[in-house]
Amino acid sequence: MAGQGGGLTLIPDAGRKRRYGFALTPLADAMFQLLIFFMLSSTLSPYSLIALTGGAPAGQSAQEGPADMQAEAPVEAARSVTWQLSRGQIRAGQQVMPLEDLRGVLPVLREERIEEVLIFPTRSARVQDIATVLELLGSQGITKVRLIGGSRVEGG
Amino acid sequence: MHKARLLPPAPRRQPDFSLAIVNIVLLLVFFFLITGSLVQQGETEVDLAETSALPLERLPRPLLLIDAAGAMALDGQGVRAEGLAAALGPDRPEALYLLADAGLPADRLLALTTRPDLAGISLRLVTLHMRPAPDGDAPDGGGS
Repeated sequence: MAGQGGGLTLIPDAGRKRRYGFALTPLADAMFQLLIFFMLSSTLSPYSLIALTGGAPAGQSAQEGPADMQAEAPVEAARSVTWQLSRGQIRAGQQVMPLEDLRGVLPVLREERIEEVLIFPTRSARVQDIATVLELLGSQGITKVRLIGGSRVEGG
Repeated sequence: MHKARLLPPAPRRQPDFSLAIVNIVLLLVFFFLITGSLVQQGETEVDLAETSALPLERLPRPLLLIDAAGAMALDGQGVRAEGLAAALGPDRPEALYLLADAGLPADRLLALTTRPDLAGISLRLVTLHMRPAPDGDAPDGGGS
């Protein structure tokens, strides 16, 4: 204390209010712990979602039987196209095109008022191919897409 | 020479940066809380399919991880396709989010959509949002 230290003081400190400081160090420690937890346990990656089924009947896109048998006898539904999806490419009839070129074809589908696309993924098709096709079709407003699994076509 | 003082020199107070540190760290915590998604171990190890034109989403739950070999884990717990419906519990969720490896054969993914025990559950594929190319090209499909 000022009065006990031997120093000469004319003003006694008895009347001074003692200031109590708020210790922020524990708060900072706790904050750092929280920060480290969230940094380690979370990811900042941006995600997107693609609906594969509508949720009503399971396998909305599913059809009975091997896909290639159905592909040989397609039903001539109005305003629909049938594609075979292989790794990195699409086959429509005899025409084969890489997925990179699909974006240029989609406006033609819209002009022809194609409402539905049947897709038969072959054995070589990967999840990335499905995501690419569904994204492109969705961006063109073609939301009625049927993915038909069980293909025995090698393809690609 | 030594001058006599009536008052002792006021102790020089060190600047206290604690409050500033707490503020900054609190902002960082808020940042990670708002922008981040909590993940289970292994959920960041799969190479997701990439898209660029879809809206951004946070990582939802329940999350079914399917790696390139077809092994599955539901919210961090290993599960087989046959036991998936049971693992989802009696309160079946409206949607099941699939964190599938981009290299997984499409058949393996579509096999889930045909399972009768997953009837009524909307299956949604989680993709990684990539910034679109400047010329508007789509991400390459399948890396063939």
